[in-house]
Amino acid sequence: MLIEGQDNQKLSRVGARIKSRVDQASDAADEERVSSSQFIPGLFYPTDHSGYAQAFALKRALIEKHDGKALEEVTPGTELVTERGTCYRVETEEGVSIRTIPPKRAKESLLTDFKLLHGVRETTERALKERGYRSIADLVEHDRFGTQALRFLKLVEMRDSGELIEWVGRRFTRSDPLALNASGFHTPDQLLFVDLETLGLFTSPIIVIGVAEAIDETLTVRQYVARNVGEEPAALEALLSHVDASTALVTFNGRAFDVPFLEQRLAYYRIHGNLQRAHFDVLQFARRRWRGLTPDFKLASLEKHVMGARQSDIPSALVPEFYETYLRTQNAGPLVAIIDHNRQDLVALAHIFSKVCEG
Amino acid sequence: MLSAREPIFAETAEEIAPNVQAYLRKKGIRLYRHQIKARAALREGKDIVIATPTASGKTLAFNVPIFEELDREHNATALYLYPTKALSNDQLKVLQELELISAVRVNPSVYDGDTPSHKRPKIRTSARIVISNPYELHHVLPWHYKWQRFLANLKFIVIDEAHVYRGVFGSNVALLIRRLRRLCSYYGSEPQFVISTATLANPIEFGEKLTGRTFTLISEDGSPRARKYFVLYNPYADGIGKRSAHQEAKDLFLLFIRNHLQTLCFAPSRKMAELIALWAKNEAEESTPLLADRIAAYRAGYLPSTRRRIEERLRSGHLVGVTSTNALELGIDIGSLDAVIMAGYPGTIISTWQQAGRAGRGQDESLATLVGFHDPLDQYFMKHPGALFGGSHEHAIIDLSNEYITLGHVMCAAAEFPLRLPRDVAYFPALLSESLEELERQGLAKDTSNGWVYSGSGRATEAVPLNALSSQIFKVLCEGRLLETLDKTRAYREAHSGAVLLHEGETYVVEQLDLTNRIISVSKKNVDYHTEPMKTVDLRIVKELEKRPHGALVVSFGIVEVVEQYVGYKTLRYDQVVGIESLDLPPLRFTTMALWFRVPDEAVTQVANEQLDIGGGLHGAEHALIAMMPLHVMCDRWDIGGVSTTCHPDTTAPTIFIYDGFEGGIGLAEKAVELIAEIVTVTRELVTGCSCDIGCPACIYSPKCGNDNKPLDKQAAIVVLEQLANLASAASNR
Ligand SMILES: [Zn+2]
Ligand SMILES: [Zn+2]
Repeated sequence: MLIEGQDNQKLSRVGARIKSRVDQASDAADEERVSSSQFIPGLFYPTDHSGYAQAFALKRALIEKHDGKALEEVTPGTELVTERGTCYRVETEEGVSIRTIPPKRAKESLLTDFKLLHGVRETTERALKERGYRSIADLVEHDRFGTQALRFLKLVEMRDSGELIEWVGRRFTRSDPLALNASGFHTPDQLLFVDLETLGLFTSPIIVIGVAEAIDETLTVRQYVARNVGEEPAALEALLSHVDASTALVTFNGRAFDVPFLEQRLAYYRIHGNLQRAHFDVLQFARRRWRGLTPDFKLASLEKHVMGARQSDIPSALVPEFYETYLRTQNAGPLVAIIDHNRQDLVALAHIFSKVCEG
Repeated sequence: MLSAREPIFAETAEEIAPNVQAYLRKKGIRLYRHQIKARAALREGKDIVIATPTASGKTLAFNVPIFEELDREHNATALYLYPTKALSNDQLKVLQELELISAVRVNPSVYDGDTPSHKRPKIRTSARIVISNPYELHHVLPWHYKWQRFLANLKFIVIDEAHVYRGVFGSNVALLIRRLRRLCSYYGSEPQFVISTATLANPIEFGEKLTGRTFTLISEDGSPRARKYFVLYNPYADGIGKRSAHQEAKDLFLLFIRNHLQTLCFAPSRKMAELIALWAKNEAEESTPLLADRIAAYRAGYLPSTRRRIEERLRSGHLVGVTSTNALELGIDIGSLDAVIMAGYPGTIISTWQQAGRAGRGQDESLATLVGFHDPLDQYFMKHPGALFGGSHEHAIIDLSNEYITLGHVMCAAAEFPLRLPRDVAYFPALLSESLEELERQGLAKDTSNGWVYSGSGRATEAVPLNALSSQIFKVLCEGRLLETLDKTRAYREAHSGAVLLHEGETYVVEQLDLTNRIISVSKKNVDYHTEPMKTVDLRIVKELEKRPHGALVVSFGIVEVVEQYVGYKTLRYDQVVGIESLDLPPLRFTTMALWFRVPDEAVTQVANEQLDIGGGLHGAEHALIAMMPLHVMCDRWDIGGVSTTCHPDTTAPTIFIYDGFEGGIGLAEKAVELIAEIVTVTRELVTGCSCDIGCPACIYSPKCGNDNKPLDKQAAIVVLEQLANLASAASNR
C-alpha cells in the first residue's frame, strides 16, 4: 500500500502552500513598512533596488568568507546560560560618550513652562509671569493651580522621569522637546539603549536583542543572539537582567515597535518583566529636531545627516532573509552581518540621542 | 397552515437576581419554558445549544443567566461572537439597555474592525462583555497578553447564529475556538459555551464539533405562536407561466402592501432585490404616490448608516414594504412582519424557515409565501410541499481533520504561545504532531525546550483566511461621493461599463470600471432598463498531480483554473431584451484543486441507444455526486463546485470535474479522490433508488446550479453512474 507515502505527499503539498502564504504575508508587511512614513519599525530601507543588489552581493561575499566556520570562531563571544536555556553574547566597546541634559537645565526647563499645568494657556502664563511667578515652584500656594503645581514639583524633585513624560504627553505630546528633559534626571549609566533584529513584523521570533550602556566614557554594547529560535527566551532573560528600577529605555521608534514586540515575546514565553517605564523614543524627538533637513526619518537617513554614511550594511528588510539563509546553511556569514547591523544601529542611536540632548 | 400555540411559561426553581428581575418587570417579560430551562442548565455549569425558531426569545434565554452571573461575580466576563458587524451592533443595543435597567455594570462593547484604535485599550481593560466576530478574534488572539484580565475571568462564550459556521468556514471557526480555549486554559479560565442556532438536523453533534465540548439541547419552544399561513405560489402551475417569477413576486408584494400587510420580500440577488423594489415603487407612484415612499430595498453593500436607517424605519412601521437579500435573514432586529415573500427557493431548508420566521407577531395571523421559479428545483417544491414541511433540515458539517485547515490553525496556535505535546492534543485531536513536523520542514515551527515555537517571518494569522471572502474591494463613486463597495467578482458582474447599478431604488449608469485603482465611476441617470451580464465559464487543467485507479475507474486529481469571461451584457426593459452590447474585460481567473474522470464510451453509447441526453446525464450525475460529497469529505455543499462536459479539450472525452470553491484548493476534492469508489456507489444507489420521475432535490437537482438545472436527464444520469460504479467495483487491471 502507498498510504504512508501519499499522506506525506499530501502534507508536504499543504505545507508548501502555507509557506508561500506566510512569505506573501511577510512581503506585504515589508511593503507596508516601506511605504508608510508614519511607521518605521526597522531602521534602514534602501530607496532603490541597487541597495538590495548590494546586500545580496554582501551576503554572497560573507558566505564565501565564512565557509565552514561557526559563529563562535568568527565573532568572539560567550555562551550565556540562563534558566530559560542558552544564547550567544557578543560584547564590544565603542568610543562613544553619551551627553545628557544637565539636571539643572532639565529642571529649569520643566519648571518654567506653566502650560504644563492644566488650564494654563499662553495668556494665563504671561499674566502669571507678569505677576512675578517665575517657576512652577512659586505656584504651589496659588489658589487655582496650587495643587497641580505641587504634584508636578514633587515629580521633578523625585526625578520621576516616567511620570514626567506622561505628564508632558497629556498636556502636549510625548514627543515634545520638554519630555526629553526628563532624561536629564538619569545618569548616563541608567540609560539602556535597545534595538531589536526580528524575523518579522510582530508575533515572529527575535533574532538579536542589542543593548548599549554608557560606562565611563565608553559605550558598552552587548548583543544577545539567538543562534536558533530556541535561544530566544534566554536572550529575553538577558535583556531583563539589564533593567532595574532606575533604568530608562532609549530606542528608535521603540514605542511603536521594540517595546510592544518585546512585551508580546515575553508574554509568549510567560516571562515576567516590566518594560513600562521611562522611555525616550528618539525618533519622535528627531522628527522635530531635523524636520525638513533629511529626506525622511529613517535612522539611516538621520545617521547620514548627523554622522555620515555607513561603510557596509544590510537593509533591515533583508534581516529575515539573511537569518533564514544562516539557519539553512549554518554558515555564520549572514548572521555576522545581522549582528554588525544591529551594533551599528545602537551606535547610531546613541549618537543621535546625544545630539538631540545637546539641543 | 401552521396552527397557533399558547405560550408555555415555567416557574424558576431559583429566584432570579433582583437586578435582572427589575429589567424583566420593567419590560413586562415573563420567561417561557425554554428560557427557564436554558437558565437552569447554565446555572448547573452546562454548555447549552439553543435551537428554537426565530423570534422565540433566544437572546434573552442566555442574557438573563449571564447578567445574573456577572452581577454575582464582579470580575466575570463574557464574549459574544456574531458572524457580522451589523449583528454585533444590534446586540450591543440590547445589552446596553439591559445594563441600564438592571444596573449590572458590564460595559458592553463591540470590538471589531470598525472599533477606532484609541478606544481599544479601554475596552480591553474594562469591558466585561465584548461583542466581536470570528475574523477579529482570529487576529486578536496573538495579542492575548493585552486581554489577560478579560481571558482570565472569562465565564461565558456565546456563539450566536452558529449555523452560519458550517462547511469549510465552520471548520476554520471550530479550530479558532480551540485556539481560544487553549488561551483560556493558559490564563486559568474554563468558560461555558452558549450556542444559538437555527434549526439543524444535528444540533448537539454540531455544537460538539464546533467547540469540543458536550452540550445540553434546548429545543422545545415555549413561546406563543399565532396562526401562520404558508403559501406555495407557482407562476408556472400551467407549465408555461405568463410573466416572470420576479414580476409575480412584485405583484404579490404590492398586493400585500396595499392590503396593509407590512411585507418583507427576499430576493435571490442584490439586483433582484433592487428591481422588485423599483418596479413596485414605480407602479405605486401611479396610483398611490404616498405608498411609493414607504417601499425600500435593503442589502449588503449599503453603508452601515443607510442600513441602520432602513432597519429603524421598518421597526417603526414607517416602511410597509422592504425587499432584501438574505442580509435580513439573520437576526437583525427589524421587529416582526405581517408577511414574508420568498422570491425563489432560498437554497436550503434552514434558510427557508429562517426567512419565513420573519413573519408573525403577537397574536396576529401571518403569511409566508414561496414563489416558485421556473427551474426544476423550485418546481419540485411546488409539486411536493412535503419536502419542505416534513423533510429534515440540513446537517451542519464540520471537519476537524482537514490537513489544509488544521495545519494553518496549528501554526497560528504556535504563534500564540508554544504548543506542547501531548498537552495540546486535547485541542487538536487530529493531526497535531504531523502538522508540527510538516511546519518544521517548511521552517515555520521549531521544536525547542520551551515547546513548539512559530518561526515564520510573516504574521501567521494573515496566511490563514477563515473563508473565501475576496479581499479586493472596489469603491463605487458618484460625483466623488462613496455610494457603496463591491468585491471583485461583483464588480465584474454588476458594475462593468454600461451596467445599470441599482442603489436604494435609484438607477446609476456605470461610466468606468477602473481595475487598477478599483474605482467604479457612476452617474445618476433615470433609465427604464436594467442590464444582465453574459459570461462564459471554462475550466482548464493546469497540472495533473495524481492519477488514482479505483478498480477500473481512473480518477485524476490536480490543479485547475476556472476562467470566467464576461463577454457582454443584455439590456432589458422589465423582462424583455432590448439590446446586446459587448464587453472588453480581462477574464477572472480562479485557481483551485479538482478531481475529474472520463466517462467511459460504453456509457455514451448506451445513452445514445436508449435515446437519452448525454449532456443531461453528465450534468445530473455531477449534481448527484456533489450532493453526496459533503457527508463523505465533511464539508458543505456550497464549498464545492462542478463542471461537466460532453467533450473537454484537455481530456478529449466526456468528463466530470468537481472542484474546491476556495482559491488554491482546501483539500475537499483531494479527499474525495480517495473515497471516489464509495461516493460513486452511494450516488448510484441514491439516484436509482429515488422515487421521483424526472429528478428532484434529493437526487439530481442542485440549489446552486449555474445553469438553472438545465439540461438534466435522470435516466441518462443513472446510466452514467451505473457505468462508473461498475468500473469502480471491477477488478483492478494492474
Ligand atoms: Zn429524485
Ligand atoms: Zn448544474
